[in-house]
Amino acid sequence: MGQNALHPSGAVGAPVRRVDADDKVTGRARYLDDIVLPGMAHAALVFPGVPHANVRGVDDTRARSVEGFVATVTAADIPGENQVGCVDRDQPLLAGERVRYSGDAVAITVAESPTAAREAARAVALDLEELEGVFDAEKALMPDAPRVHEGDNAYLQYRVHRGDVDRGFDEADVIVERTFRTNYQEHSYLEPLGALAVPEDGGTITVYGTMQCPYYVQKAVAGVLGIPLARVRIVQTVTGGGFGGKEDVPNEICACAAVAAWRTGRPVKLVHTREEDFYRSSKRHPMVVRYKLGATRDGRFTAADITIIADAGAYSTLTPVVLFRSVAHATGPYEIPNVRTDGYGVYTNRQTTGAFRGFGQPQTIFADESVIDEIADTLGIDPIEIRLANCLAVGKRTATGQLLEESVGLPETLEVARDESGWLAKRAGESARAGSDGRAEPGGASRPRERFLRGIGVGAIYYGVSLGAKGLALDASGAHLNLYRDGSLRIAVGGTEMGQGLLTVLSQMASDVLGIPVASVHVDHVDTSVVPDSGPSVASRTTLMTGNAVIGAATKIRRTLAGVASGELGGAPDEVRFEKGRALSNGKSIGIEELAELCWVRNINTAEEGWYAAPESTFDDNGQGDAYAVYSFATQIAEVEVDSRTGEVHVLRMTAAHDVGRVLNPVTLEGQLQGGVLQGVGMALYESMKTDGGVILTPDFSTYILPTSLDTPEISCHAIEAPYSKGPFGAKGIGETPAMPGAVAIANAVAHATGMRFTELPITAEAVRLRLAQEETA
Amino acid sequence: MLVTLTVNGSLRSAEVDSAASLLTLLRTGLGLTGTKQGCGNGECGACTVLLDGEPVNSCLVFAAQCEGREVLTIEGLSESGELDSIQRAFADAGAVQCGFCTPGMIMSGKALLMRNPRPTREEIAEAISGNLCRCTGYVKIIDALEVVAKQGPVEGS
Ligand code: FES
Ligand code: FES
Repeated sequence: MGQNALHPSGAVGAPVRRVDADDKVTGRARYLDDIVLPGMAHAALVFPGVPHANVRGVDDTRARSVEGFVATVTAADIPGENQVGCVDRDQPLLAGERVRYSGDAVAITVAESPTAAREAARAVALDLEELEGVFDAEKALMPDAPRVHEGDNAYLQYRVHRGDVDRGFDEADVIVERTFRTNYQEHSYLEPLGALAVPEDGGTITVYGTMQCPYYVQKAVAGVLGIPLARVRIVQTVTGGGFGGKEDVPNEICACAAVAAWRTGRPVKLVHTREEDFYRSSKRHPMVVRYKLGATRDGRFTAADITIIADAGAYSTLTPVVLFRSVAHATGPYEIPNVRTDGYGVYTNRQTTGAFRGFGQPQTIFADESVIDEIADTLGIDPIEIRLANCLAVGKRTATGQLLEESVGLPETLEVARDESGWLAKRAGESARAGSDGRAEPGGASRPRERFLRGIGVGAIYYGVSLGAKGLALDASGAHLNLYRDGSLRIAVGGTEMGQGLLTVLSQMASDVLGIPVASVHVDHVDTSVVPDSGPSVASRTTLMTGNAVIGAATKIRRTLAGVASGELGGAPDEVRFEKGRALSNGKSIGIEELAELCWVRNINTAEEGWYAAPESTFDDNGQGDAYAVYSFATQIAEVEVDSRTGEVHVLRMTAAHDVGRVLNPVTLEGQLQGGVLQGVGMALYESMKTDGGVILTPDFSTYILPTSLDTPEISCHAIEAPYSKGPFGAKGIGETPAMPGAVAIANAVAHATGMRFTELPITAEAVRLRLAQEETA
Repeated sequence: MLVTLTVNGSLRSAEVDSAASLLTLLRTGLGLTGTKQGCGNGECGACTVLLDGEPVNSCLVFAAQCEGREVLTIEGLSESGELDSIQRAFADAGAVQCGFCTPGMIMSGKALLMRNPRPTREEIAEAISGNLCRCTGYVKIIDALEVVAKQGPVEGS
């Protein structure tokens, strides 16, 4: 990976091998469904089969005769509150009175095997009074549209208003206005949702599950059981991918398992099939984005007027947090003096939508970065030049009026991506001509059409790290570190590993602070009974928040050790250095194990807590304030070839330049970048979950098309380091940004190749063929 | 019904439903949970094992069809306690993230290298194209298999 790195000497910044790799390559790692307990029963959900209905009755007579049947659980059996709404309290765990989408669970069946539980679920007879549904967010805004809940379907609104938009457009020499549409994108983590709930002594319950946010789950489980948080223990199992999809949905599945376990007194496992997962899990919001941007002749942006309509689905879930992010970032990473952004969250009778890598931004990025390219084309300015002329930098203000004081590597990401991709030559068409293999040069639309058209396009983004001003209240994170008498260290944290490499980078950080080898450190998956509520593992906040908590606790332990070391070796405690397993002072040294043993012998505590709270963020009624503590920045450049006969778009190469603050582990970082880039390719070209009324038309991986190994382009990754003073070793979050700029970079490359601008994603072969045919007849 | 077959070199029997898949036999019947279920429909490759040396989606194979046959699973690659060359390459190359696709990927890679010890990158990509991975973008998985190919033949080829 290309890297303008400050190479540190210790583990941080080094390509340390993943600490969980051996477990995962041998098949030893235990995911939720790998756990089997004595006396365990299995649960399945009773689905309504319709998207909108009043529930008049639930009859399980036939289910009872299924061999292995144990119990049916209905809303009436829920001992606590029948409610799992995460932000808004609008979502019953079991739809006892009203079904609002086809993924609602009306009841739970429990049996001796998963097959029997599903058979019993199918045998439950539901008496439903069907209601007219609404399946389109724009239609849901009409006054006569069926209502999904009591109030208006447009239940949520955010805005960012700044400057004088009308005057800004008066000053503009060119104005472009377009409407963009994106559809549902499914997370498609490979491990389906699952939970195992175990009633235990003392009226407590332990729930194991695949999840990103164990503390959300703890609250949900305590709520539905009507018991105190202190009696609910949540243990995150090795998690097979999340990408936002295991943020709030595990609340529901864990609560279902918990209610069934509570009712039957047995351990109960509930694991979704892939199809159930499609029906039940949240997705990336389908959005309609109306985008109007004005610029002066010399390419200065003067005003933006933006309307965002987000389909929330049947329940609010995380839409408030996601939509806030869409609205706050809608203008892209540019300084625009006059802005009017209005965002609406709308209920429909469709699958719920929530967090997905990029968190409400890829949809608006598709709009802003497409419109900017059109403006650049109109003005005859290079797309990267126009971005450089307007982009955020230290000393500039975001659309919410936030002054950026440090760590803004955006201009450098644009320059590095431009130079590494060979942008200038390719944009001008030279390279394709030079390597002439009978293929057309970029910008081919203006010439007689060749079969294969090549193009290059760019997308640039920014991303407010952590929860921001409209996140759920808690934005802090804890850690518990225990240095044992043999010098080994065990770490418990509140942030989750879901594949991104958290356990490894935390081990690296602790290793550097205490000067012990990474191999001496063990980090556990989250157990809510060990570490205080640390909020969710989302929004690229985990490395930052959990990392700082670990560093805080490790620093306390180091201080203790330094005191003992200076007593043994001489010299001042704050001058003791910790390296390679030894403490150095006064020209002498002592092993960390020896120091740890000395502490033990002398009754000195070497277990410490770490706690890190995010800097305060603000957001007033006009959307002005310091919305997020710090921002990550990225630019990706896509090179594509379009087959004008088949309409297929082939991504040849992606260049990704990301400002990550500081590289903690170049291998895990590059892996995150590559994986995110391919998710962007999927969003651009293939992925679209189609629905018809309450039915999902693409509920599996043969109809919902994911990129495979054959679709992977050459990916060239570059890390830019603009350190963040409050980040762990200068790092900012990296979870989301890899999946953000790629889709629009590809769309812009397709526009460059064909001269055709697409305002809907994905750009399928069919869509391209259709447009080409239209152009030909025109 | 009782099915008897050779799994990772040992003769094993398990009582399963007549409609049960080989995947269920391995995971539930024999407790070999290293093989994963990502879809149950033959669409993701997470359940890939070698049946008489050929890669199959074990979720699509009936357990009953495996009577007397030979199955190699992820657990069979490191029985001595040491990682085999493909496992080591995956771990070293950063080809593992969430790890849920990993056992199936490794088995598909193993099958490829057994029949073609010197595959090109394109052949590697083709061989694992039935194995979905949502985390890595496949690049480091292909890198890892390329490393193994350069080291010389794998066991079983
Ligand atoms: S589980 Fe067998 S192919 Fe997906
Ligand atoms: S590593 Fe997560 S699916 Fe491949």
